[in-house]
Amino acid sequence: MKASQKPTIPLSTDLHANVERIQTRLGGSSDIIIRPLELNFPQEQCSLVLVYIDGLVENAAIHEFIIQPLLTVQDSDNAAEDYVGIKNVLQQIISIGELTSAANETDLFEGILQGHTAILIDGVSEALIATTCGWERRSIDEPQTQTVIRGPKESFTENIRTNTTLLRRKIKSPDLRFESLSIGRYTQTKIIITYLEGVANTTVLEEVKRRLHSIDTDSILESSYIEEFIEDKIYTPFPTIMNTERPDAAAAGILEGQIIILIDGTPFVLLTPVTFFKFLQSSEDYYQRYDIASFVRLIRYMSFIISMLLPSLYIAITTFHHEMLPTTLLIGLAAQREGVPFPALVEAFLMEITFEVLREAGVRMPRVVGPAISIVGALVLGQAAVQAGLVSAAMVIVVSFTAISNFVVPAINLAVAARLIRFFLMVLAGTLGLFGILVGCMTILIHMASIKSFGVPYLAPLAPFIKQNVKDIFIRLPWWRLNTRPTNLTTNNQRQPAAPQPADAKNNKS
Amino acid sequence: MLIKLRILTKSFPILLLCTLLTGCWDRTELNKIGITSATSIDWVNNHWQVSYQLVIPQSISSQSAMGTSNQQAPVMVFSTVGDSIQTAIQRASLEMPRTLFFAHNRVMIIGEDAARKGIGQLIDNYLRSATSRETVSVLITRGTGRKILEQLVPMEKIPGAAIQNMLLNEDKHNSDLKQVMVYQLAMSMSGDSGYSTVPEIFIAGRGVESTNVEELKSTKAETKLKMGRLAVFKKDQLIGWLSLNDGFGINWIMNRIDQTVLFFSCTPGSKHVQSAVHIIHAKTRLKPTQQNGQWVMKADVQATAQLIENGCDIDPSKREGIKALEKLANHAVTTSMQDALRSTQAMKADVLGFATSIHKKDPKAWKQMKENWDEIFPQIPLETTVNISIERLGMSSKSFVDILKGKQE
Amino acid sequence: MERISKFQLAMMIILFQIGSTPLFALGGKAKQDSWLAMLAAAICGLFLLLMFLFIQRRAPDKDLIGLLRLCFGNIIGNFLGAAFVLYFAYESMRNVRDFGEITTITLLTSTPQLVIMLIVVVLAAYAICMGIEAFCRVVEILTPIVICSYSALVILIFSSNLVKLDRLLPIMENGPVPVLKAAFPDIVSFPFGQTVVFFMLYKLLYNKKKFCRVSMIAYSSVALFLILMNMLDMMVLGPTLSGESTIPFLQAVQLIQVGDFLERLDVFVTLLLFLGLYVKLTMFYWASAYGLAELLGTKSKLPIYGVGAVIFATSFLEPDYTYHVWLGIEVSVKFFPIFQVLIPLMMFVAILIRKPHSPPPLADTKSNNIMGEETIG
Repeated sequence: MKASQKPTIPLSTDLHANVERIQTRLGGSSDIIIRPLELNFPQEQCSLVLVYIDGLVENAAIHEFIIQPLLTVQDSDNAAEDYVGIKNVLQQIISIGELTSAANETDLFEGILQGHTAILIDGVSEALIATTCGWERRSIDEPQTQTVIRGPKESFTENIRTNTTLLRRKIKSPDLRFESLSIGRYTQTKIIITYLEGVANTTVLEEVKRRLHSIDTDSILESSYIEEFIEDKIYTPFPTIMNTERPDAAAAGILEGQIIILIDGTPFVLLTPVTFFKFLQSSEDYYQRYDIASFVRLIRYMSFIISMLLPSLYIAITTFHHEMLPTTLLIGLAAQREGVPFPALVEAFLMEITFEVLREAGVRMPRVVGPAISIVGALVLGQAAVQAGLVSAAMVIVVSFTAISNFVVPAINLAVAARLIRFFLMVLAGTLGLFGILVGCMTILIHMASIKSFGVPYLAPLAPFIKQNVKDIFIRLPWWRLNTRPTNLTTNNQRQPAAPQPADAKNNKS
Repeated sequence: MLIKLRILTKSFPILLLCTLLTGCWDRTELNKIGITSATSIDWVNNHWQVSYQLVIPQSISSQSAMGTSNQQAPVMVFSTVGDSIQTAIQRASLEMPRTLFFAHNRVMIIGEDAARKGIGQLIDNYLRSATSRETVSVLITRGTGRKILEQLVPMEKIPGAAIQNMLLNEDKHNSDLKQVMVYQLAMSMSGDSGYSTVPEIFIAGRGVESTNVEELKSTKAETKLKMGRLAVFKKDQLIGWLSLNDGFGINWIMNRIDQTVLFFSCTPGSKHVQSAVHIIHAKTRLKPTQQNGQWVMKADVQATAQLIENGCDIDPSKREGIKALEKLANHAVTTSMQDALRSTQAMKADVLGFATSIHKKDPKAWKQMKENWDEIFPQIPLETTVNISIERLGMSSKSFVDILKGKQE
Repeated sequence: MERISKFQLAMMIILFQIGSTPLFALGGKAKQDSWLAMLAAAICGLFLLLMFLFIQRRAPDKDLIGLLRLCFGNIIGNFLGAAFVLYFAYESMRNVRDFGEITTITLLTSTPQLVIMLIVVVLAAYAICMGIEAFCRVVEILTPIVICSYSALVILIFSSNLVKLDRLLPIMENGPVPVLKAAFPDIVSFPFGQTVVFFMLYKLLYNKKKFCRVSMIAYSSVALFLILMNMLDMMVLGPTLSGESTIPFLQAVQLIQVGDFLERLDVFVTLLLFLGLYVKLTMFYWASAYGLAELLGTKSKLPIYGVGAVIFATSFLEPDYTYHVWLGIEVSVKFFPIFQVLIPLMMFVAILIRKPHSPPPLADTKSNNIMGEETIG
């Protein structure tokens, strides 16, 4: 059921009935604390019950800011008799920053289960919800997956409030907006949509909101769940939504007009809309000088292509197009293949699958055993297989180089696409040679050209060609040249005044 | 119904892909191809005999862990016979476990008998086949081509590559004999004059032929491959031979000199060669002109050289010395060119490109001369102007012999 | 509504014209003056293009079928439209067959042509199903790659010392007559007259200002490139060899030897030719399917499959390569000028009568994606 469709059962005015209701609904779990209080006003007794869940709340806050003031209340002036008055009185006494009220059961339970304290008042059919959440949380750490040599070393955590704080610390503009909603029937995961007002495209924003609101599911445990629900094209290996663990990457995206989706419970936030070329950019490109950054970026593009094509090229050339190799290389390879039992395609598949197994094993292995097993894997499997005559040495080199090139791609979801496509291309290469590879590449190209990420074509700005945006694709021009934001994301273009000059050399001479 | 149609059409490409797995029609593994490094064509007993020199990869590559591979020869040679060239090649499957692969073929050696019969068919084969390279060098030999293929060359593992390297070396540094590739041969055979030249290779020395790896273990080889004369073809048939000197002169006339060493004597006309210059750049402009209704070819040679051997008593460190040496060099080139002209005119073979020059200059006149070119060509004189400038002298200036003579007195 | 930008149009014109042209030695009858024949044909093609653009400018929001209906009325317009649909499908079929033949000659000799042609027709159908916008993006990415590759090959040819300028001499040895005979109608109809297919594309531009200029610049640059390639062929191979070779450019590339390892590059040329042929055949296929859909008034994808099946099936009708070439050079080239010259001429006259003034410049049409138009074209 969607959030808007939940039946709203109002609370009753009877305190005991409410408490009974809470006990039944929550099943009398042992971590629910129900604390009755009596307020002594001169005119009358006021019964209160505090309900909270131990472990989700910050006990000190409850003791100091709720229970303490309530117990020591001495207010002779406010002889409140109608319910409005009592609420106002309590709002004056309870010294918690955020104090809201719940008029129906849904909001009440939501409040309690999120770690707030519910204050039920006898005779009042509304409950006060005081924000007291505090639980064990992981401190801000270095990012595990997307590391840089130079640059900030903070990473998002599982707590959504910490994440929004990290973003606020990067972008101190009043235009930064957060809009929250809860998704997931059982998990009620808090989702926050973040964008920069005036820069983000309103059509895309509307579309994002529409898609998020139409998700109806049991649980949202990670951002990938949301990703799969809201992404554009279903049957594609290419990712259309980017994710990152780094606040600086997220902030950079916001400043370019992207829309960030923060999800409680996971440090990975989603960025949309994205193009293909964004996956091959890393934050490090912007923290190093533009010349080395451009060079490294070109290497990344090359590695991506190599990781997709190298095994297929090897298979195609050595089985179909022997004339392309220089003679000495051909003779060397031919000598290596003497005595190898399998055809090149089968050999390639064997080695690739072996490598995938090794890689998976490397991820699951406990840290202590890790290095030993990887050495064993690499040396034993590779070297020994060659010596035993099962595979040729050239094939081992090809497979290892492919695997290493795969790691160069900064975004893992794109690297995965390359891994999957590789097999498809290998089959084509093994049956039709270079023609097969060409057909495969054309299919992939056509497929990529037809993908749109929230209305932005996947291959922009190369196709359709937008001249201003090409400054940051294959190479990175220095900051003083990057004076416009990418136009496919936003119409608010001016990032800075047109091409300001760097500090004039003449001034530096003295 | 419509959904089923959509599923069918969407899964069609995948089904298509599966059918591919049933047969990879063009796939050949590396260890199923026989890499040919040299081929030869002979005409034996009214049949074409095609011989192939196949590379044995294990004995060449340093990869193999077997120690015994050193004992095996790096190549093997065998021949097949047929009525047409392709028939002969086809017969190879009767004795060969691998398919012949010609893309790395470097050299084509034509036996003398085959050359006299006519190699037009061979050229057709080359042009028609998609896999054979037209950049294969063509060589001709005195006896049968097969003998050349069987010869091992001490410095290189693959004799076919060795022969081509020898040819390239000669082409670039000596310029006596130029490398002729199949397409060049095709172009000159079908060109205006129809005459072409092909270098010759033969086995020099007497004794046991180096067909055995054991033979190579000694420091001297009793027989070796050597390049020799220049063969002249009219259309596609061999008609005669020219000497190395003629070849040298021909290359001067046709602007085909890359780098060479020019020898000359100290007095013009003498045969006693004493000095040499290394020609670094050379350019010849060949222009046809008409004088009194008679066609005359003007050859204008410009070259730069470096003195590498000085046996004359001329002091090159003086202006006059250099001029004198240059004059001697010029004379040597002129003699060479005129000798070449005489030899080719004696054969009525226009391998000098005169016909093409005239055709390009004056197509109408060419149309009239085309029929009788064989008679007209021997009458055409060549006027030469040679200008060699000796730019550098090397590390010393005066001739050492000269210095010694000076010391004796 | 799908929209394309002017830059995409230019790239499409370039890659389409390059297509399979380097494959053939056009103007072979003129021997070493073939480049002059191409020049003459290019100039004539430019005039044809001007005429096409003029016609289109009078009704910028109509494609070919629309224009035919406008000029000749519905019945004749529909009939001519159907004829054009058939013409485009035939051109596409010729390209499919070319594709199959080249692959079988050079790359994959034992693979049955059925498989190759089937794969390429399926690939073309896939591209068209994804929409003309997606296809134009693909072309945008392919064109720079193709141009760079050709340039690299040209540089390599020059570095191998294969080029001899004097093979182009003597110029006009037999006078201008063989040159003109070789140019008309052969070269005009292939490839220069095939720009008639772009009638289907102009309607889809978002920004209809100055599309004439873009088309002409693209056409002229491509024509220049093709003439240079023809000259190169002649300079490397000479008139005899290039005349009797089936794929002269391939022959020329086979002679490249730079360093010791850059040899035997003809596989790259074949791949480049594939890209060109593929774009051409998909473009014709799309024009045919789109025209058919418009004639029938449907929006479904059935015409795509229908036309594709017809193209694939008819490509088997020719029994061998000689027949295919003969059909192309002797027969088709006499028919094509009807579609490329005659009917457009009639349209030209008709549109002068019916719409004597061109409409005022249209407001730019908005696309269905979020890009702002002022940044495009």
